[in-house]
Amino acid sequence: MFRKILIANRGEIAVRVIRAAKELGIKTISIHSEADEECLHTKISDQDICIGPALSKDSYLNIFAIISAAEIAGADAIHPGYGFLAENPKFSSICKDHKITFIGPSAEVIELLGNKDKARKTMRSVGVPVTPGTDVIEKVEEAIEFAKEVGYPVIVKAVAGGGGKGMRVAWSEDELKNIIPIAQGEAKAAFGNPDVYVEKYLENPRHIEIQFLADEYGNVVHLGERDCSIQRRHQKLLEEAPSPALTPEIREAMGEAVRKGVSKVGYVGAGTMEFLFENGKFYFMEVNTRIQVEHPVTEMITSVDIVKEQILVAMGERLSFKQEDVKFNGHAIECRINAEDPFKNFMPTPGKIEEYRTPGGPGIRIDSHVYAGYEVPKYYDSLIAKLIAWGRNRDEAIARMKRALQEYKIVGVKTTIPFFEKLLEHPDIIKGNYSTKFLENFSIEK
Amino acid sequence: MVSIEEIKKIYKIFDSENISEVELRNDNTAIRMKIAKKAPEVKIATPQIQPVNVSEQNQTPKQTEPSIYEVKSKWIGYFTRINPKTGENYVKLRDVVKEGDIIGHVSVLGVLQDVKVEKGGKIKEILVEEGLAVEYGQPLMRIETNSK
Repeated sequence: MFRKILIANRGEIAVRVIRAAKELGIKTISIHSEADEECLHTKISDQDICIGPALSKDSYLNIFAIISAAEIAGADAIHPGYGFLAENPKFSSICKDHKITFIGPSAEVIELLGNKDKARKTMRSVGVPVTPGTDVIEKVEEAIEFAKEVGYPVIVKAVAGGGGKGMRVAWSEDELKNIIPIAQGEAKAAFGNPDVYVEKYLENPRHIEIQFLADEYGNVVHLGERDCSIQRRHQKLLEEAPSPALTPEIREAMGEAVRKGVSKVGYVGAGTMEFLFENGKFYFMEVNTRIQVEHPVTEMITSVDIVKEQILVAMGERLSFKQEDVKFNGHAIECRINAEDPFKNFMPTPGKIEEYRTPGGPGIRIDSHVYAGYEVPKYYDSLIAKLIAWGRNRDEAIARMKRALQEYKIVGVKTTIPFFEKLLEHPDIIKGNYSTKFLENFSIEK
Repeated sequence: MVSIEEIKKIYKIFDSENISEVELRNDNTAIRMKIAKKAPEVKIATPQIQPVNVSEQNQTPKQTEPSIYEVKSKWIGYFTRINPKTGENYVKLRDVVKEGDIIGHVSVLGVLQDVKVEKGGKIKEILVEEGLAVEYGQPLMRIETNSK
């Protein structure tokens, strides 16, 4: 049993981990930067240590300071939360060097899954579907051959590229013939490497991810999916479980693929495998080797406390349940309440929360670190609360979310609440008919 | 009263750094020492030892009002005042230190980090006991700087 866990994070996820640890009877140590003295996580832990100045690089990303804090406080484990050092293999291995348990997978596993190319190849080797693609294109004919096989559109990508650079979509054979030399030239100019490859292009995919938990005895369970297609510039805003698009058969197939992939790499802990989903087919994207922001929607429909299980398996315990014990009950939706102005291009709005009144009643859960009088610092991400609504079915969950958004009163900083109020009126959202492209054509700005 | 020993100690400070004036205050004593800059020979300009005069303080509050500077920890670790080379404390209460002086260490994962004084003055208070853990920004000592 751990005696003391240090939470190497801030805000709502630090609060979430402290709550789980307390329920397990484990003492908690929170850390904070000089800008975070008033953050709720510092007030509900057993101990609290200031580790550095406001800037993340000097505090929440400062491995040296965090390990020293763990040492003086006598922590036997560190929970990294999400973001910051959560997927840093060096941090995981330094914890190990200092005989502190890192609550997450080993450095080797984080490293393997953090490398997109290696992760894809590993998953493909155990039969997890990945987006069909070619190796480096030597002759244009290879690309044409491939496109004939998988169908148009296809996307030409630079091997050395990233962040959307060096990508071009081809909708026909003629277009593909033209694009390849252009893409090669662009790749050479931008990255110094002209190599390109071709992949099947998904026009309107959904972002669907599977939550899993694995212990060190080889037991792997999946907890079903979350649909996170509602994204703005790759930032998820609304998540729900189950996905309106999945059939029980596809869920089963995705879950089994995940269990195989996770077993293959010897993963221990909680994690998420992300997929693109279109026309009944799913394609592996990546594995997030940490707890995720949107984990509560899964907790609401499975009654599994993912953070507690994560701590327990890190302690070397067996998972407390088997795959056949996992039952899905009802529907859950999460809205990320950010201190951002949805009428001004989601500009962050740090500042003091003058008035704060939370919704309640059946099926409502709030994970947050703010309160009346709290000042949202400008240094960190703008998430101030996660509002989660559960219902016996999707309609009830939506109805509860809508009335909870109405009840929620935050004065002093602008938030994304009005954005969700409008979003939940949209007929395609009500029908569950949306893809990752949805927000490209939706705005509440006048 | 200030002993000759203490005056000698203060006098030494002038040797090393380019300090031209030092003023010290006790409960009922005050001493001010001045030195001419770049003087080839160190002269103590009439050391004045006199009881603190309340009315005088009122006349020149800015000059006599002690200003307190806190030495804060820049690390998370265990604080020590012991100089590992000599086995003795670097400083004790009422010692006079100058900018850049090492007054102790914070042991961070077994590595000693130097705690240096950023403003000179007299050590008024030692806030952390030997060997205790400190966090980032934690005040370790209070120094009376007597600066304006």
